[in-house]
Amino acid sequence: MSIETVTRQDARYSTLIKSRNARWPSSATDAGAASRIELCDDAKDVAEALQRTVSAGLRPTVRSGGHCYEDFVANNPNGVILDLSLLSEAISLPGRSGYRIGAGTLLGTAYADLYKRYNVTLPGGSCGSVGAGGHISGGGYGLLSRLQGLTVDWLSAVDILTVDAKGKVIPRRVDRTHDPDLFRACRGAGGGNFGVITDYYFDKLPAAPQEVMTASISFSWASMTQERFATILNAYGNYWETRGEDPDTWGLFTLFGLTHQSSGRLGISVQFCNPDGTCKDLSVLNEFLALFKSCDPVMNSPAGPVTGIDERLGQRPRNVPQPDAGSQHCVTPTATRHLWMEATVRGGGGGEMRAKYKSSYMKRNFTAAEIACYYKHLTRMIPGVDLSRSTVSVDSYGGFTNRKEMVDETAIPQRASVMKLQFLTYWTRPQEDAGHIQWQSDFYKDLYSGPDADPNHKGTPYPNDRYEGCYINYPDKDMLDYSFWPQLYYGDQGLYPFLQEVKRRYDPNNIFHHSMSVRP
Amino acid sequence: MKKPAVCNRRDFMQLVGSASLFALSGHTEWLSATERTKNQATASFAYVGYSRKTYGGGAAGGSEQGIQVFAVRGESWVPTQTIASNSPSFLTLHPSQRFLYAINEVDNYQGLPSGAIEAYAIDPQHGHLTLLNRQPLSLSGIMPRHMAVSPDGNNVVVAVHGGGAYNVLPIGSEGHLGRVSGIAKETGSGPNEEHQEASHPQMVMFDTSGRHLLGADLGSDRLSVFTLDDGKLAVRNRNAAQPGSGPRHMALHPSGDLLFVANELDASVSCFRYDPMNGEILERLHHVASLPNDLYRKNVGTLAIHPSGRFLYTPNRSLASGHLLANGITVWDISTTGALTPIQSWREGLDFLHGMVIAPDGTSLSLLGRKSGSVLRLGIDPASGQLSKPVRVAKLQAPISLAVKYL
Repeated sequence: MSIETVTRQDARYSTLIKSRNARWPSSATDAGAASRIELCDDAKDVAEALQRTVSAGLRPTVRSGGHCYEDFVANNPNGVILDLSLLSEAISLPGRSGYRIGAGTLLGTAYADLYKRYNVTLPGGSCGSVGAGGHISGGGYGLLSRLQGLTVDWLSAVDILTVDAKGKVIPRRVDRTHDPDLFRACRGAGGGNFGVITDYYFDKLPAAPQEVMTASISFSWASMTQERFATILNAYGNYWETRGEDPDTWGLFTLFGLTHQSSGRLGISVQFCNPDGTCKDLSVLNEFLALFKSCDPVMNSPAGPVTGIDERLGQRPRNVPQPDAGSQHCVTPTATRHLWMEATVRGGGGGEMRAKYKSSYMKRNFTAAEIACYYKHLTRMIPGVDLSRSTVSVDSYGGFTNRKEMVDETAIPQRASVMKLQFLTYWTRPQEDAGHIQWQSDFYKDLYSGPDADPNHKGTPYPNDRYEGCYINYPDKDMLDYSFWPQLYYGDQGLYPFLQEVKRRYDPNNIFHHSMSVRP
Repeated sequence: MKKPAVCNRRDFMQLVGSASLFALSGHTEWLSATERTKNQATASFAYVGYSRKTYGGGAAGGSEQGIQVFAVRGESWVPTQTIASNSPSFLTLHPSQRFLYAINEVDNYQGLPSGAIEAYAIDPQHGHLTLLNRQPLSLSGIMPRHMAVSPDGNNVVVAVHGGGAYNVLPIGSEGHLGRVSGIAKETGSGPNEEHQEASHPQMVMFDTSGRHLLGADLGSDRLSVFTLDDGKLAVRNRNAAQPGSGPRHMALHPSGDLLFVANELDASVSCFRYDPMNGEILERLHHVASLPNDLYRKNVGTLAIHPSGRFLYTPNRSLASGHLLANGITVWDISTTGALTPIQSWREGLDFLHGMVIAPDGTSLSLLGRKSGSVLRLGIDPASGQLSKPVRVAKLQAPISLAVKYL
């Protein structure tokens, strides 16, 4: 196997330098862009490329799926991107003693391969083009998590390359008995902090469901009132705070897209199965759907499979101007320029949308003040800012994600929440950056500065009886404005000092760093 | 041992420039050189960085951290301007003398973990500073410690102590700093667990050829030589210092072929043979303890060499006072082979020393007394190199860095 080095002079550079967020790098000539990409075929390649990089005094950043929500990989001036996207295998170990998933494996491939070969699955995210490398190391959860937990809850071992004090690359297989502290750190805080993860190991994986039911409930903004909005959100939040904790509901998972008024509608996507992986008994599903009968929903039937909300938003067709009716002239067709790989491979290459994200965990139902805040910002119109692709995805949580023993076993301390929120806003042109980012920032700050807000942590969902902070796999650089940002992501019960100790021990030279990495 | 014929006296004078034209040999020749350059070596303005925030001091109005500008009037420095600046722990002048640069020894700048560097224009008449711009250092490039402007004035290289790296920034024709153009991340460690867990570059300086940059790394016990091309550093040569010594500060003999290194962790001074034509640190010739080594584990390792090349000055700073040699300056005679012999230890009137600058005419040195909050000037006897009683030329709280503009 060999390393393919793609420098600035290579024709592939402008394609491979891109991430899935069109904001970074801003162009192939961006001063913040890496000087080269090292495409690796296997873990040995990665070790060699990493050693070369470190010995040359250059900074390595690591990419598998390219979906990082911030510029942690892309903003690497004159550095080296280690591209692990070709380390993509999801196979069992000899004698079916476990499973190995390469860091470059895309989730869609993992689900298909694991299902076809072994009838098992991984309770990871719903976006098929997300890579295992960043997803699993930062927690990794998805539609089956209420039933099966987080991906890191199943993780048994990790192959990771670290750099010792002398600058030498050390390959390690870490687990509960070998470098256990580093292993625990990789179970939720692994992204770009301690080393390069090449493979994930799972002694066991849960069985895949046989069938699932999907449903979709939309509410039209045109006829929406603030009262009905409150009724809908209260019904939703109350279900997850109460009924959702019963194990017979753990096969139910929903994403409520609170999308801006200019999109026309709000929607709940539902996936359901019984805990045994069948769909023999639909009473729980019907009970949930019935909650919204009185809220004037628009049922979409038949409901297609539940996809990640960002995929749905990203794929909305753009408004193509139509020629005047009755025009006598020929209309010149418009052509659009694409990088070849983006046009050819769906999900391949960089994303064409620009995006910004935030997150929070909720332990309880929405308060009246919060609901009013949602309504205010989702109906706020800003001249010149198209907010039709802006939303807050309120995802169900709780169930098997909240096993208390996982707090000390993993680096995901949020084990008491019932809903998990992802704020997303998408747009296409750089000139629109400021407007979108400002809208989302105003919304978020307002939401967490309400009458019940903790005065010491105003503007943030700092861990308390209502919130459990933010999710590191939805990183948000705006949180750096607060000195307590590490506690937002890692809680204030000692996890962050633990991670700093792991950092000092395993990466003493701070080779692996980004804007929000663990500070030594 | 035959010293390499690096350059003859004429070449050496051309290389070093007008402010410090001194031959290696010949006491009388050196004296007439002094006469020649006396006018050029008069101090006009001085800049002292201070940080009451870190080192205490009353809230006596004005900013807690910044740069104090002085007009130098003989043995008295008159404060004329105060500029706010964040932890300006090292100051250096552009070779043209038109600009002053200050590093901000911080671990956070605009929300990100990095240090920063500032550029100021110097008003020729009053020496006053006007901020031109400020640039962040590379991400994770926290706590810069030292910097050097290239002899051609086009770049500045920063020794980033906390972040374990060197950064290069371009300098525009009007003194502005461009964005970081080169990052050299260092790795390495040493036996001292407290201070050598990782690489910690402490100092950078250009050699007499102007084409090579030397770096001292206290964390990895390493001295390195780099070339600077197109805004980026490339390693040319590495030399291991004694394990656990922690090289902190360097000075080159005016001839260019002897390198003196002050080692902070074992309070010693080393002398290496250096080849400026090829940018190579050669064998270590001498190694002396600057203090009895049972006394202090750690000592600020700064040093300065007399412009004549005949004397070396090492201040000893210590947190525990009481010992005869604590808070003193040792004066060493430098032989033609670079061997060091202590000839004087001056202690009186000094405290917590920092930021030593020797005047280009070799008749005095200035340094900071942090505890007493003073800038001191000691006379140097040109024949013997010995120091005389310090005069307090200025008073200000918590001084941390010093740069002097000579006419």
